[in-house]
Amino acid sequence: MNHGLGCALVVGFMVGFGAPCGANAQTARTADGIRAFVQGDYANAVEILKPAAERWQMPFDNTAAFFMALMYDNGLGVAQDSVRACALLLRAVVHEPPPPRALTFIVQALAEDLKSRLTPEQTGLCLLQVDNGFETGSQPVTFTLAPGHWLTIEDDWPKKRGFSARIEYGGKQSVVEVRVPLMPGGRVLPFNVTELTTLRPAPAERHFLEAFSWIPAQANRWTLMWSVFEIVRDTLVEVTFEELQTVGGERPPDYETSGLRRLANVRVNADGDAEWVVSSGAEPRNDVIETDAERQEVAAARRERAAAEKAVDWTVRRPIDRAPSLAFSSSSNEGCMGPVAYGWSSDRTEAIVLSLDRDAFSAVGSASTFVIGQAAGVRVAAHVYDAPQRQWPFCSDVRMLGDEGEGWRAVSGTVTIELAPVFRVREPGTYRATIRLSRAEFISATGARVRQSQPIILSTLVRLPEQ
Amino acid sequence: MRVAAALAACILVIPSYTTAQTTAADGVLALVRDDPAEAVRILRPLVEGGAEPDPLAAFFLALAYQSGGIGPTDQSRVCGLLLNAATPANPLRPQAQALAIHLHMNHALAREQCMMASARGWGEPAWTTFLLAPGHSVRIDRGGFFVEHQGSSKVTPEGWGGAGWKFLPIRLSEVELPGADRARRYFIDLFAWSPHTQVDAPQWSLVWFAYEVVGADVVRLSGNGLVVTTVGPTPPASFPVDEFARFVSTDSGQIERVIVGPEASRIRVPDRSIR
Repeated sequence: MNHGLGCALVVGFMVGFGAPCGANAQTARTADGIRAFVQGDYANAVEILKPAAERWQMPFDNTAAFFMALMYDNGLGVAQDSVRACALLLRAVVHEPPPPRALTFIVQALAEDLKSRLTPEQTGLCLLQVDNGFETGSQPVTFTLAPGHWLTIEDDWPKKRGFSARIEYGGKQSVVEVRVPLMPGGRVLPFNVTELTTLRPAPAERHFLEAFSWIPAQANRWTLMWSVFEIVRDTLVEVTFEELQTVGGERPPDYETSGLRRLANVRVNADGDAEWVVSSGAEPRNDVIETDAERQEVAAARRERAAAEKAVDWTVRRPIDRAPSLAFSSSSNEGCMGPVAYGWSSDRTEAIVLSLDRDAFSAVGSASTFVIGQAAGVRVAAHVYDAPQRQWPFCSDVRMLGDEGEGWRAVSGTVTIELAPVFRVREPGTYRATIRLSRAEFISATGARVRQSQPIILSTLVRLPEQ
Repeated sequence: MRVAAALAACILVIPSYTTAQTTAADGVLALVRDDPAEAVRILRPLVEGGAEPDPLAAFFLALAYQSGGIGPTDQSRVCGLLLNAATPANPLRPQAQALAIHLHMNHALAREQCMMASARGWGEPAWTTFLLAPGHSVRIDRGGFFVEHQGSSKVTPEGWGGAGWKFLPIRLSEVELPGADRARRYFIDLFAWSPHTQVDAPQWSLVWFAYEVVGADVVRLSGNGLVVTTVGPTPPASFPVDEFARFVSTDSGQIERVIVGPEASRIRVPDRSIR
């Protein structure tokens, strides 16, 4: 009655995974744990074997995992947990190194036995644990930010391999994902919320959620990651993910909060802006953190641009020798943050571009008017294409043949530029430039002329050169 | 005085307990080192040597046998050990039970063999070595035959044993052939009393496993080997096996395997040249 259970044979729901025979990862410490187990000293056995068994780093100690599975299944020294026993046994089957050859039979047979005892839901959790490991060490925690505004962090590991935040705001609750970098076997230190009072563009209370996580890097190596999110109303905005340090050891060190604070912080800088700072390691670094208004403005512009592009028929073809219509969409104009602004027709077959040379750009004040043809260094041109254009080439010096289409140069008219300061935490000196073109006449390379018949207004961000 | 006696008892008991447990741990560690032979060497006395078998040792001894690293695996033997391990004193009792069921799969015969191995233990021969001639010897143990012949050696794997079996001492039969050269042929005989499992009255059959040693080779001889059947709770304490089963040479130089009595048979042993 030989069942022919070979080393690589996997039974039942394990079909498809091979477990090649080979060396096991048993250590002298593991041997101490096994000795304690056989002697009935389960507390000591668990103390020794649990860290080795539940370390989801290669190479796995599947011998320790086997004995811990026996203890979990029988509630010896630990709370009875057949699902975890199942996960430890299955991992020994699925992942190298395999358990000792002499244990192969029992590992496979007990995995099959557990399968028959677990409910389908428990079996599913067992399989998730094989892939994702067990708990991360985090505890549910609630932070109150303001009256009626709080968030609770929940550990969805290993079911969803992540974390979620339940946020109460404006009388409603929402659940958002908290994307903390982590891998199976990793540890998450307690989440923390830091409140900052920033001064620009106006005094404001801002809240930052921070997570420190230990990621198993390789055998007995751990990398400490720092994740920063800003809590904005009912959302979490990812600010940064920074690698802080890598250390050795069977398990990651137990850092106190003060120790972590010596490594990384969010704070208010001398300008009154929020910034994150990594203050230790080979590469100390920092960066300011955008304001919510900046993010919203960028997102709105992106949405507007996307909507405009969605309305374009990209298959349309038009004669390139036509005269420009000189009708430009207010939602399709941008700039290069410098002395170039441009706009598109709604079908993106025409563009208009205003460019100033360095002297002219330096001369721009809060409201400036230039007469085309008389003001030095001011150029306005319309470009006509035979097909819709997806990208504007004039922010780069690199041009491809046909990039400029058929050019029509403005020879008369006026350009008025009005500047309004815009707060950009990373880009001081940024202004919103509103450019109005009036009574302009354009001439083609062949001498054809066309006159502006409707207002042309471009709006773009510019950074003025420092005076 | 009573206190002193109790203390003395403790002193006597505790070391023996600790020693036994430590030894069991050594056996388990040998097993996870993938050294099942060493595991068996350590664990077997803990299971079979005392009045109170160590059920945890029995559990891991079963795994050592199951691993196949110490000769052919007999599932009945493994299963019987697992049943022996499935006692309330064993923290791994549920696993021992589950593994036993996994092995016998609730097949009636397999389950009976398992239970018999558990109840009566596993019978195997007393291993021995025979010197056949100068430079020619055969050792018989759990792994089979180990023959030394003219400076070379050869292993012929073979396994013996059964649930509740009682083996007689292994016998060497030398048969001298007629002729001037007085050549000899060598036969190894294993006799075992095998209990019947599916009869109302307990019965035992004496079965004969016969092999011929030819140089470094060992050849199993054909034949069902049933010698005699007896009734009783145990097999006969002594039995004149030579009177019932032996090799004989004929005048023509042939050798026959002869059983006399109610199961009488004569089977000619093939000539060496035929093999």
